[in-house]
Amino acid sequence: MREHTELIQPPRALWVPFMLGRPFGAPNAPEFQRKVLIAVLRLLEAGQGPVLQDFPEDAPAPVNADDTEGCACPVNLSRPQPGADGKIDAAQALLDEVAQLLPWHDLAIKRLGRTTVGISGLAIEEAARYVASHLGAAPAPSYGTGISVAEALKRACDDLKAFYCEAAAAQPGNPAGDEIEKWFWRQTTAGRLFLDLQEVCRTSPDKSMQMLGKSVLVPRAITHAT
Amino acid sequence: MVRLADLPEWEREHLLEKGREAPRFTSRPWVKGPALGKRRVAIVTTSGVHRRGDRPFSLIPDTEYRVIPGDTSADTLVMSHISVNFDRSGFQEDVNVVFPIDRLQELARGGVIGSVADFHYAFMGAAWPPTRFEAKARELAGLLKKDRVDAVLLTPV
Repeated sequence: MREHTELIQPPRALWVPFMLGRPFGAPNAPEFQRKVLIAVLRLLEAGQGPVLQDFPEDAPAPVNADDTEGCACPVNLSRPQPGADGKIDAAQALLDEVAQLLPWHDLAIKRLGRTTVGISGLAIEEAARYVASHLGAAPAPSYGTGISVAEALKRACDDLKAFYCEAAAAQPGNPAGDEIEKWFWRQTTAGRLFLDLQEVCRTSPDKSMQMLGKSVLVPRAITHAT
Repeated sequence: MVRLADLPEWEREHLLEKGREAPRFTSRPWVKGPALGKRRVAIVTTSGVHRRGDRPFSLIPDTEYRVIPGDTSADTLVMSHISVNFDRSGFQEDVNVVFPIDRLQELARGGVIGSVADFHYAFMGAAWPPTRFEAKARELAGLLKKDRVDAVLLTPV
């Protein structure tokens, strides 16, 4: 934040007007990234300081970004159906949704040559089962030695979220990051289950779980909107 | 990053509060060095990135760092920052939007900078207050000197 830099006054700082999480402006925009990088490195040549310089350009808009309202995700994710007892099986609903997105995630890996899924070390279906178990009567214990249940849950949730976002980004129309974010929280079973999980964590006697529910599972923007 | 005016009021206030709590420095150290074309540059990031297979960052924020060797392929980096309040879609598409290792190597090949360090370092910047990082920052300064680094690029998220 420019305001913080003004207060702290580090020797050299380049303020950039890009969204949080993108300090070099935009993905897959090497020329633009290079321009930002050179601008900040040139501050090393300043004769005196502290120097706080503003980068003069906004980030380039995504190429072929779909400008229609809402995320134009072509996969119309089916709504989970209640079982014979009238209840929705959270694990099955999540697994069904993951299965619908798997072809898109496979495509994302081919396109990008990588995935950021893998923090938990679990296969994505295992991560889904693990997360869903914490919405039921028998939450699964941690899957790693020396890793708390809250830590294990956070990693599995991060993997699921990354899987969904990478799969959505691979779909036609090149949906923007904020549109994918809205889609995840408003239109997916996973998003709804994360909100349920937030409540489970908040009421847990485990302090780490309470922390998870308070601030590191659901973004402030979603909490404020609900 | 980001214009405060572009944020909703509750987010603006949250971030401004962080600024009010941030440390102030009584001195203004200023160090000059060689021309950019002779500098050896390392990246130190607070974005919580690391190599796949490294220990993810802790849910309880600490001040430990992860080492990212200079020859690490950008494609092997993942992120375990605990915050969910910044965009990750850019990083998922292209590591360089957070950790510009490919761009830095290109600048070295083109002679814009002298060379790229053998080692880069990543913290998860959620530990608060930031003064908690001082001991690790001093430790890192020693390691960077051993790597003959004379320019450090600090990248947040």
